[in-house]
Order: sequence, then structure tokens, then C-alpha cells
Amino acid sequence: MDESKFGLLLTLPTIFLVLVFLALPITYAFFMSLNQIELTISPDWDFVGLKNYTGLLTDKRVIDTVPRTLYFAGLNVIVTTLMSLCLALILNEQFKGRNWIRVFILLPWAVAPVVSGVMWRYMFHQSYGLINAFLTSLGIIDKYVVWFDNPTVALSIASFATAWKALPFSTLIMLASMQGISESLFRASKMDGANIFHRFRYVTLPHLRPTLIFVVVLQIISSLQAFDVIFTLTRGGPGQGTVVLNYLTFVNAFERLSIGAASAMSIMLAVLIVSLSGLSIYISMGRKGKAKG
Amino acid sequence: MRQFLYDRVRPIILYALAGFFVIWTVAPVLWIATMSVQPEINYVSVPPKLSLADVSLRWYGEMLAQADVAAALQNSLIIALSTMVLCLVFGALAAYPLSRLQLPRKNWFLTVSIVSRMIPSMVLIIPMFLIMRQLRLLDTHLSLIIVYTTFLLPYVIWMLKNFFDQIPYALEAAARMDGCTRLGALFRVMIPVAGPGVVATAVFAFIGAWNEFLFGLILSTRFAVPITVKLSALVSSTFHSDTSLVAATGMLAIIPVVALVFVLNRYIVRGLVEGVKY
Repeated sequence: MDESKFGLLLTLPTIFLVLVFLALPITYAFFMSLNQIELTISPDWDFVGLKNYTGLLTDKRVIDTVPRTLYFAGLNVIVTTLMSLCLALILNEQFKGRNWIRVFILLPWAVAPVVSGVMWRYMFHQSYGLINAFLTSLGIIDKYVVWFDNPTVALSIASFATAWKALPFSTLIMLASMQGISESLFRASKMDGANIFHRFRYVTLPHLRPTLIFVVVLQIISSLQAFDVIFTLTRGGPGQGTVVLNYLTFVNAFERLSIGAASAMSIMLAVLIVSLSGLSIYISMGRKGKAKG
Repeated sequence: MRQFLYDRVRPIILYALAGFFVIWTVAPVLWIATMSVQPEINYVSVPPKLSLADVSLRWYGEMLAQADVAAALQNSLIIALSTMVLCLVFGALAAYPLSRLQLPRKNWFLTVSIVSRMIPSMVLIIPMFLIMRQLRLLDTHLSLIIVYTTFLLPYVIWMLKNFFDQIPYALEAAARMDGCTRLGALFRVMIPVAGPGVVATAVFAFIGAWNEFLFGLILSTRFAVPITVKLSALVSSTFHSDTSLVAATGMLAIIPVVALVFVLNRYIVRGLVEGVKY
């Protein structure tokens, strides 16, 4: 058997899985998005063309999720990027106990998103939250606050919980990128009299730029996909306070059973995410080229 | 003077920041861990009265004694292990030609494997439910194993390909010269030499499958319910008598993966970084 046929043979199981359980469902979802399917009324498919898509633009519930999703994503991006940059800078220094910290900070990565939702729910819980206990003991608040009653606060907590989960991974990418900076650059800048801030501003930061952008895009994507954390943290509440775009898709599909509209939303989301991911890969290819050059 | 200040101030800032990050990462986990070994009355009181004398594992015992929780843990274990094995086998088979052999339309393969990593689960969930219903696989381990394997394979292939790329050709050529077949070279040379990378990939697949939630929620109802779904049901149900029970279940859901990460952290760090190298 010649090499290319043999190679193809080896990839067959993967090709099969991808065709049947990836390509087929997407095609299926696309067809559903062209139909009106209201399972609460009837199981029938009613072909409506692109009406589900145009309907999205005028659906008040969809429009309401846009500022929420933007706020959620914005906060997540800022918190994750700043924190992981700071943490990577620390871990790039030599100090005692560094290796232990490197292990500890992996923890959130391992925790399932649903469990991190539960954890943050208990951190901010109105009657047994650690945050309430802590702030009371410091005298900052005099009685326990019901944090999840305020939509903005609830949405911020959801965003923090997502950022918490994302910290290890983005830190590792940044750290890997920092370790690619050649030592001689630092030595040269030191000789030129650059202090630690100068070195950060003129050596580290320019080198990190593609990685920073990569992390930002990654967090935008993960915010667009936010679901698990919100499901156990707030269930979308208070009211619709933490219903972001992806969460609404779930509600439309499995609570309202508007399958056509939900499919249209999910397809739009997929298009958005695939374009953004394309961008992030383009950037990280630049990242690799730079590291080599 | 400046050097003196730098030497004095630098460790203070470093340790303060490092301390902040450790607290930030560990606090939520430590809090639910504390709740899981204390009676509810201790932490609902203002201020919380945590006491070492009250520490007990009985909430873990009580949850593990519940048939559905024990079954959920077992389901997650079966599903995650099977997914891991399938991912490694199919992944290695596909990564090998992508890394080493002439393959028609190789770039096309690579592109598809990247694009399929981006597809959000929300797009697939409704059709997947219908497909699994058609195949009569709803509420079975197999349905979740298939879904997770399909989802994780593109990552796994990519990681393995990057690890295989780092192995010198000469090793394989020597094995072939000694009469090893191509498949033999894959399983006897490539995989053992890429050992740490393979371990990292395996852990990645295991954790990915163990932690998944959305497909578990929709595709399982009674018999194949994974622990993540069981936990979410417990959290939202108002009928549990004791929050410590929920906290203990949360801990049970993370202990296996956290243990893996602590033991294998070196491999995992490498694997994660490899996985995003394009």
C-alpha cells in the first residue's frame, strides 16, 4: 500500500466521527434554522426561509442580551488579561516557592465550569457567603448583602467566575511567550540603564503583544459561549439579569422549545465565533513567526 | 541606595502579589471544601463559627451512599476513561500521518481540525439530541462517549501532532530498518518516545470529558447522568436538607481531576501550551 493511501486509512475513524457527529449536526441545525419549529405547539416544520434570522434582529429578548453579553465579555477580558499578565510576570521571576505557586494556580483550570458556578455562588451567598462574612468582619458592611438580587452585581460575579476559570490557561500562554524573550535583550537594556519599568515597556510588552491579543480574543470567544457557569451560579437570574446570548439560545431551545429560532441564534453565534477564532489563529501564527524570527 | 531599595522592595511586592493570586485561586475551592466538612449551622451563623472539633466526612459518606450520586460518579468515570482511550487511539492514528506521511490534501485536514475546534456546542446540541434519539442512544454512556470523543479529537490530534513533530525522523527510520512496520513504528517508537506528551494529551481528554456539562444535561436523563449534571440538579433543588451535602458533592466532582492535575502538573502545562501552537 502506498504511503498516502495508508495515511488516509489511519484517519478514517476521525473522518467518520467528524462527518457523522459534527458535519451532519451542523447541516441539520442550519436546516432547522430555516424553519419555524415550535414544539410547544406542534412537531411540524414550517419552512420560513431566513425569517428566523431577521426575527433575531427585532426580538426584544435577543436585543436585551446584547448589552449584558458585552458587559460580561468586557469585564471578563479586562480581568483575565490584566490578571494573567501580572501573574505571568511574577512567575517569570526567580523566587522561593515559585514552583509551588505554579502548581496551585492550575487549580481553576481543572475545576469543571459547573462546579466553579457552585463555588462562586457559595462565595457570595446571602447567608453563608465567605465574602459577606469577610466584609462584615472588616466592618465594611454591617449586615449580609443579597448580592445576587442586583442584576449588574450578579452579572459581574458571573464574569469573575469565568475569569477565575480562565486565569491558569491564559497565564501559561503568556508565560510561555515571555520565556521566548532572549535574555540578551534584557542584559542589553540593563546596560543601557533601563529600569524594570522601561524593560517591561520596551522589551516585554512589544514581544507579548500578539499573545495579549490572542488572550483577549480567546476571552471574547469564551464569553460568547458562557453557559455552564451561569447555569449553576444564577440560572439566568435575577429576572433575566444574567441571561447572556448563549444562555438565551439554551432557554429558547429547551425551555420555550422554539427550535427554529434557537437554531438560527446558534448558527449566528457559530459564525461569529469561527470568524473570531480565525482571527486568533491568524494572530498566533504571527506569534510563532515572531518567536522564530 | 537604589539597589538597596530594589533588593528590599522587590521580594515584598513579589510575595504580596503571589499571595493575592494564591488566595484568589484557592479561596473558592477552600470555602466549599470547608463547607463540605462542617455542619451547616456552623457557617450560616454570623460570624461563621468554624470548628475543628466538628470536622467530619459524614456528608461525603452520606452522598456516596446515595445510589444516584455513586452512579453519577461511576458514569463520569466510565465516560471519561472511554473517551480518553478512544481519543488516544484515533488521535494517534490520525496525528501520525499528519506529522510524518505524505497525505493527499493534508492542509485541508489541518484546516478542518482547527475549524471543528471552534464550533460552539450550542449549535450541535439540538441536532445531536435528535440524532441520538434516532440511533436510540439517548441516556446511554455510548452517546456521551461518542460526542466527547468527536469534540475532543481535534484538540488531541493537534497536540499529538505537535509532540510527534518534535521526534527526530532518524529514530523512526532506524526502527523501520530493523523491520518494524509503519504501524509498529507508531506504537513502538513514536508513542513511547512522545510519552510525556501522550500523558498530557490523555489527561487533557479525561478532564475535558469529566468536566463537560451541556451534552450531559441534554443527552442523559436517568441512567447515564454524569456527576456535573447530578451536581447541578442538587444545587437547584430546594429539597436537600443540608448545604454541606451539596458542597461535598461539588468536592467529589472535582477531587479526581484536581488530584490528576497535582500529580501530573508538569505534563499538563506542556500539553496546554502545545495545544495552541499552530
